[in-house]
Amino acid sequence: MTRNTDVLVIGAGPAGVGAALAAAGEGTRVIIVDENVAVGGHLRWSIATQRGTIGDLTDARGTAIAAWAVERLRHSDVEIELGAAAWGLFDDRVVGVTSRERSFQIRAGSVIVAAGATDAAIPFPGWDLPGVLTSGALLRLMHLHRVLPGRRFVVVGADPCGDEAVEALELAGADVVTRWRTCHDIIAGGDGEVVWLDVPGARHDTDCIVIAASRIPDPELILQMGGAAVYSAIDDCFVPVRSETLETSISGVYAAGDCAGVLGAAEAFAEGRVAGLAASNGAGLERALGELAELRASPPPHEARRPTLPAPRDSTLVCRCERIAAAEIRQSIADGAATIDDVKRRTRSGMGVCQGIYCLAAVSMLLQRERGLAPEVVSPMKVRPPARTVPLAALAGTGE
Amino acid sequence: MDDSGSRRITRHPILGELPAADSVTFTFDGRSVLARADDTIASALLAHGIRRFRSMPETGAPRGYFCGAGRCMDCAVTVDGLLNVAACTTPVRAGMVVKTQHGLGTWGPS
Repeated sequence: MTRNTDVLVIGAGPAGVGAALAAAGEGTRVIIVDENVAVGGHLRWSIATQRGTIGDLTDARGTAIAAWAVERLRHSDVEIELGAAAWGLFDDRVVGVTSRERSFQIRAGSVIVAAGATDAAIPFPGWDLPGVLTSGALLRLMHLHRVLPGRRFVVVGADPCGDEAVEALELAGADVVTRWRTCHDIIAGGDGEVVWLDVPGARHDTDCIVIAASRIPDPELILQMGGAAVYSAIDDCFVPVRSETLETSISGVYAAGDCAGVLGAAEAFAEGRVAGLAASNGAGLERALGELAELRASPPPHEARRPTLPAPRDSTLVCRCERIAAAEIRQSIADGAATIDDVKRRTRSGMGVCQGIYCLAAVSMLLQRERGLAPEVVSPMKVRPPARTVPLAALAGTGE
Repeated sequence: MDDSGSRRITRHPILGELPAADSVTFTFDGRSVLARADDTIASALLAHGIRRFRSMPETGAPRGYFCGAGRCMDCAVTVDGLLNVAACTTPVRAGMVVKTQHGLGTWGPS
């Protein structure tokens, strides 16, 4: 079953919302899809102030912006599909979407990928124990479901999202044992769950370790279609090459927001507006470009830079899904693996269910170190659909 | 004390009082769990301090809630006989039969 539309927006975070509202404002038919149960993206679980202006709101909390987005979209002509994960981008701008055990296609005149970023991971001994989680996972749990996943918290890692996590924990009345601003030389331990964290010089009694690593752009759908990508030093990963109007090297496919480089919410929204207006030939495009340029010129809300990954010990798990330790990855490199795909084929790292989100940054770092390679030449893993798990029954069209 | 779990943040300086919600009961490894209707399986289990959701193939090592986004699958549980269900993104439903997924799991009726 194929639906047709003028503009398909993938992701309903600030960039996607900006794109959908802008395009719909031009009278264009717009469908927006998001795998979550509500629009707003990561702003839904952020109570921190988002600097800048989005729509009618200035310096508002993430939760307030998400609520605003819900209302604005509801009063627009945008068709909204929630719980709907875009898993493949194909020729002629046909996108495969899976929702509630069904799969269907959307064919669009233009596609705007606004799929956001994922929490980065920093491997350290014991990081696979229950009780270790990413800062995004913590905020979702605390702010969407009002649950604390432990009693005595440690936040590790240098990223400013760790400060947001500490603030959130303290506001919730949780006991923050320590904020340790690096993941070098830390070891977590416990019997089946986190019980302690060793840092140089001390052992902390903790049952919950929050990893404060930055977020990594997720341009997977663009890479699937062979879109040109380039290394971004500030994100320490590959991001899509885009024109001034945010079109990728794939004709009619745009990338806006965090999926092309981590931004503050206001800038992501402004990128969405540019892409939405470009995709719908909107008259306000020049002005939107000017607004985006102004935002880009002003200082970023924080230094959006990925901290250096510590070189994992040989026994530390790097690939969580396939349970591959750093020693095995180092061995594959010593045996001749020179690319991420080489390492993947030899070790299975990246073949697991997460498809490399949580291990390939470390694999890349090991390739760089062991082979003396610059990050720009360590190309991302070759990605193929599906970008999300899809039941075979859904693809066969025989799902219930 | 909210009996949908001792780990609930019942009052919050920004989010306010925890709003009332309908209750939902499901089972986890045969044990009855009281949840809020707006819970995911993961949030309901974590609210009761249950943090181990699966054990890995070969090693049997326990995994729990890691990414919260349905990507890492550390939280994969078996639900009503269906394997590899991400607890963190699956809403609770009354009468769900949820089990720890051991290794690759076993297909078949619960």
